[in-house]
Amino acid sequence: MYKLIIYITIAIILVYVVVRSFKEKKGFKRKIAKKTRTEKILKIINVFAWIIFVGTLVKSGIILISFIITLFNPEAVVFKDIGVFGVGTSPGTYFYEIRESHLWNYIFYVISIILWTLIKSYLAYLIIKLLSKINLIHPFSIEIANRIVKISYTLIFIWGFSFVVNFFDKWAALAIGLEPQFEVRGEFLFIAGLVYLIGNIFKRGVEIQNENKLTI
Amino acid sequence: MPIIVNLDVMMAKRKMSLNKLSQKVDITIANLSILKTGKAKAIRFSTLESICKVLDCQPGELLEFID
Repeated sequence: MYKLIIYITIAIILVYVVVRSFKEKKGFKRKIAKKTRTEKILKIINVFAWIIFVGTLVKSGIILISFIITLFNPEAVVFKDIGVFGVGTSPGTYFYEIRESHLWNYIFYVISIILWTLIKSYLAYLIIKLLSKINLIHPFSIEIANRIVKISYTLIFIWGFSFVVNFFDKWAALAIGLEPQFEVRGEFLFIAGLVYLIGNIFKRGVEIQNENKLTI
Repeated sequence: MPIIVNLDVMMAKRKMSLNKLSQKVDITIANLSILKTGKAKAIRFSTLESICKVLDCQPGELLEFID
């Protein structure tokens, strides 16, 4: 049921973005323009960013609704099949046992998962905003460079927050003798480092572009 | 900047306006203005060649080094 909702939402967003990309901003006239490879790649990345943004928002919404349901009806095993811990896992009974044993552990733990998912959707939002500002004629601008650095800081924050989620997971799971399910995501730190490096190279690109502008 | 561009001096000597120079060397007025006011960071040899050809002068007459 939840998967169906997610798939339908993603399909609607995909159709909307593809149709919009064929329409001019000023009107509905379709110009036959020669698209460079870079522009096509940027459009595809934009579509994926929208998918991730909507997907993570829907996921956090589903977890929130499931959480509210289980607060009033602990018997409802509603967390299955939404990929809370990863593909192919069924966290329904895991959350049920935590809910049954320690209510406050359960509350803190699920809220931290919801927040972690929301931060990931914020990251996708930043990527969408970045892609909307890119101008391929003058690609190097200080605004774009700052946004790239901001994305790297958000990635570091996601990595740091995964420690918080991991802490609540261990706190909740070990109290009742279960194996913790949530792992700290080291890959976010690696990607944050790469993105930060790219941001700084971009800033150098801005300097070179500005110098080039003043070359007669 | 230690290197100054005496474009306005040369233009006055040759009695040429910025508009006319811009048309003849095929550089925008904005860019010529940047050159004239000393805000340019660099100049291409091709640009220098065009300006010298139109103003009938040497690069040394256009560019001056002040320590």
